[in-house]
Amino acid sequence: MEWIDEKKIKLDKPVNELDKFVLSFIKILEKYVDYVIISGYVAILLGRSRATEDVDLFIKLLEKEKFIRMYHELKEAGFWCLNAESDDDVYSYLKDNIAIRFARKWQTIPNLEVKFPKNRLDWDAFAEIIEVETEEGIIKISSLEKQIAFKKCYLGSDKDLEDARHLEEFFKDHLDKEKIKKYKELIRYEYG
Amino acid sequence: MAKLKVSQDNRESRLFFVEYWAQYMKEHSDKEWGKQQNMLINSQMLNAKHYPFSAKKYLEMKGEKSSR
Repeated sequence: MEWIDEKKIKLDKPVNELDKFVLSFIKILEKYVDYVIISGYVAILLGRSRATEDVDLFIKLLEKEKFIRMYHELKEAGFWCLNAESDDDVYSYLKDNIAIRFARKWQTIPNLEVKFPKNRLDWDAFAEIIEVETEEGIIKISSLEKQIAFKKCYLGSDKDLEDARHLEEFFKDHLDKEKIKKYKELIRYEYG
Repeated sequence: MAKLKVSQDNRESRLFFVEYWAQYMKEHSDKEWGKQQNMLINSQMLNAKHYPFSAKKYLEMKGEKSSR
């Protein structure tokens, strides 16, 4: 794994089936909207030794008509939405800030949990995107400092603390500790 | 490479392994650690095809909304 610059990592690992699943989804998504992947899959993509049943991501706000075109292309590519079928229902979930999940047709896991950003902290995920270059395409993830702060200060399960430890250990020499502190303060302010 | 630390406490023991694995990754190529990680992930992906719950049931268990 090599940092090409502050915003790009080159990953030389063989792409696994979960990475392929994510790449096939975001190749369609990014034709319509900006996205950023957050939470557990960030640690997994960067080597953490665990699997997951879901991959979380934010997409920027999207007009209904454009969303429907994207949704149809996703369906044609073999994805389905677990929450609903009709264009109106799927879009209204998103609009109401309810995450929607997509999986390979008729499967339930793994799935991609897609949501609109709700608050300043969510929007911030787009401000410091890291591009991870894999053998089969680029995956955009949120800043490592932000992931660590969220996992330690907000999420806090054993799994989250282990993910945070993985990122802290592996990227020890690269992380901006002040930035982690700043994010922790913002999370406490936003979520109490 | 440093030996894997052990603990009676399961949570601490897991964190020791996380640190050990991060160290392993630093000392080995992406291809080497990736191959091992992929065995774990690819086997889960294979099992996922036989996941017994419907989308509706899965979302119910998660406490999430569904209109299916």
